[in-house]
Amino acid sequence: MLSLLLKSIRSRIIPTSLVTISLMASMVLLLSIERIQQGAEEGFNQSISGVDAIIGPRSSSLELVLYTVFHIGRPTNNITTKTIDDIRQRNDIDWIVPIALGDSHKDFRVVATESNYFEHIKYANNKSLTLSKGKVFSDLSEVVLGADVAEKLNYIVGSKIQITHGSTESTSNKHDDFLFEISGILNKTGTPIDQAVFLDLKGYELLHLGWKSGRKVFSLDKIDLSTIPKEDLNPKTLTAAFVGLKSKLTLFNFTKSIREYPNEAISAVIPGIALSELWSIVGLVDKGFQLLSWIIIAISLIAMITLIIASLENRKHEMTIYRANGASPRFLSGMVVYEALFIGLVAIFGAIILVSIVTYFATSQLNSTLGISPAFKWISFGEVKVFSIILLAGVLSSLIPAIMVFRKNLHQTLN
Amino acid sequence: MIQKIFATFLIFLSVNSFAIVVTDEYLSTLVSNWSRLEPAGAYDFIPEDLSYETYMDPDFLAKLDEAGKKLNNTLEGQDIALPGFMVPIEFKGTNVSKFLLVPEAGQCIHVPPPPLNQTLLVDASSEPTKLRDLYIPIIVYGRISVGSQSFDIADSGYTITDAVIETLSFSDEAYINNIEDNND
Amino acid sequence: MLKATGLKYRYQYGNTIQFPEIEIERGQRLLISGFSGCGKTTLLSLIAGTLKLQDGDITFDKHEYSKMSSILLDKFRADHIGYIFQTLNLIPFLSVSENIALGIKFSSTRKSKVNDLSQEVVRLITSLGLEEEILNTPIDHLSVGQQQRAAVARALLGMPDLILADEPTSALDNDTTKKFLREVMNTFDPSHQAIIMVSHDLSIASYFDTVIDFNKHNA
Repeated sequence: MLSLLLKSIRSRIIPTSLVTISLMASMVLLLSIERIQQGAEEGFNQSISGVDAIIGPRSSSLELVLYTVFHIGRPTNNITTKTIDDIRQRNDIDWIVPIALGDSHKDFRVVATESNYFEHIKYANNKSLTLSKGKVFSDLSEVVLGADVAEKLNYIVGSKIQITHGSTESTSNKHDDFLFEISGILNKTGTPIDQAVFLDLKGYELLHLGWKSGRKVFSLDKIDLSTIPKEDLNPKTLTAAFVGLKSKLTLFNFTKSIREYPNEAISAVIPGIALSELWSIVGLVDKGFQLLSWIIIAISLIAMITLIIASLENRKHEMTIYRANGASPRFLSGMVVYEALFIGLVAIFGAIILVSIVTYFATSQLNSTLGISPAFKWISFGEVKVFSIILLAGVLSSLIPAIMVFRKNLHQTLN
Repeated sequence: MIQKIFATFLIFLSVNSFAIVVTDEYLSTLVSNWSRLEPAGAYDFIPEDLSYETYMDPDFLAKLDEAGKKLNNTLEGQDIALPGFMVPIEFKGTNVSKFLLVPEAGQCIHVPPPPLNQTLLVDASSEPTKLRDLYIPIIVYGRISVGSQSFDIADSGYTITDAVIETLSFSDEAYINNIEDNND
Repeated sequence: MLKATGLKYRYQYGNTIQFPEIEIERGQRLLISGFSGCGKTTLLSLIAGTLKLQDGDITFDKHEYSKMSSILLDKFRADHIGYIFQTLNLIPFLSVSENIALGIKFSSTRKSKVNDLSQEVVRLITSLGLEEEILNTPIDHLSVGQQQRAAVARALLGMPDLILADEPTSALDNDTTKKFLREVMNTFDPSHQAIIMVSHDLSIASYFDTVIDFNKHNA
């Protein structure tokens, strides 16, 4: 039957192909949306590991996580260094890494922090940050680059760069009097860390020393750096601080204390919770798109059945000849069902290939914009389920024309 | 052919995990497991006729705090089932490999945090579980191990390993009953 | 071999046709003429087993049609009967040889009687006056006569017992008709096979052993 069916389809190749492509495209739509969302979620989740809480000004917890971890959005408030120094004394804390954000280098975010950042901040299930070249900054004039920064801008250890105040290139806001030297380049992590430039908090403070009220008052090369008292180079405010606790079970007590800290309005955000909230929101949008895609798939299946029913009239001749030669009505209706099955399988196979291509491009896009790198896979169990449902729906709905053919041919004259 | 496809479809459906629904009695048993985490007699210092004054006395409050840190060592190595809520700590892809289990929802945000002996670190690294929103009730089945009672090292408090996690679903009836009970 | 008695068929739109009694043995050639309307197709469909008997009996080599389910009838037809239509016998998207091979596609019995398919096909078509090249010619390049001959080859492939032909020469001119019938009668195997042909053209009666005039029967 297969060769007869294939040849029959070939004689109706254009409408059949159109219907198959329509079905294929709608499946690609459904799966791509799902994959992209999953990829983004995975990538985000893998971006931070081992940080129990993030201390920041009292604001939306999601916002805090977004700008401190993913460098999305801007900090609008600061916390004082004094508060962090105070909190440092607590004995439930294992380590604390303060950071300051707000500057950029050629559109890459600058993260000012202490050198212990590279020891405590991990990603993807406890993987440590490692350097591919050079070493962590040890002087306030040194910077460490994320892997993508070095690659995209062709920097090597020893190159000298400028840092801009604020987050985009602005000719008047360049600190063009002072150049930082690249001391090290990090290995690729597949997280936003790859797209960041790291410098010491003191270097960051130095950068802003010549500025008062947003205006450059003096150039740094006009001042003898050794005359500046070391304490003055400690920044007075910070954006946030990452915290690791000795025992994770004390997490809630910790966040409560921070919330009740008397001297400043701060709070401690648990990254897992913030991310979980993010995915709830995203999940709603995702479900909306999925529903839409399923509707389109249903429409494509209806188109396929319509095509088959329409073609039955044309195939009367063909079917009568089979019938005269001994084919049962069951054979004829079987051909209809197998045709639907065949179209479905071809559409699915094509969809798998197309989705892989789409995923590939989407993944590299996610990588270049957000720095995250989700893993690639050919097909997942959930997707197999989706395909099975669609195939089953297609085959079941082909029973309509199949029964039509069956009944028409059951007791018929041959003409 | 069609039958084969249909059968495969049914098998796929059954492999889906749905939330489990439990009876009220079973749920009460599970909820009572939380009190097993407190060592026997830990709260014996609370007098029968507690006066408001005592309740607000800082020494009394300090004793409550202390009692909340006490661990029940007899639970070491035992299998336990606890209903509660998930606070994700560690992710693996889109799943959660480590989370804190707390008895009430929202405990890390609005409501005062639970005592240290009513929080557990659940280690699902061998088989990471689906992320559930903070307010989705779950049941955790696993083996409990009791760590140090001084909470300034990593290996302290209760940890559950070999965890199996199920989402819990309440029928509307059960929910209404619970409200009535609470109003007594 | 085949006996059809008391056949009566009542159509949807009310009228009933009564068919003549038909009896045929192996080696015989029967011509039935005098039909108007679709009576002929009805009769052939009853004998072929695609139309369910209403009144009367058909027995073919001890098989009683009235006792057979439609599935059995279909199988029976595949094994024992070859059918030729008036026109459009061939499926356009299949080659000539694929069309002819349809004759044994639905019957393992007939398939087993063919040792070498391509050889047998060539034998049949040359016996029917066709060239071998025809096997690879697209259907729409064939003349009607060539198409009909290919249809005969299909009906004969695998040696079914009975050949049914529904006005196969109506679209052919006189000379082609004569040539066609000569080749058909030469090719079919009188030791095993029989032919029942329906045609309004009584001039071809000489090619047949028996002629039943339906008009006379119904008069």
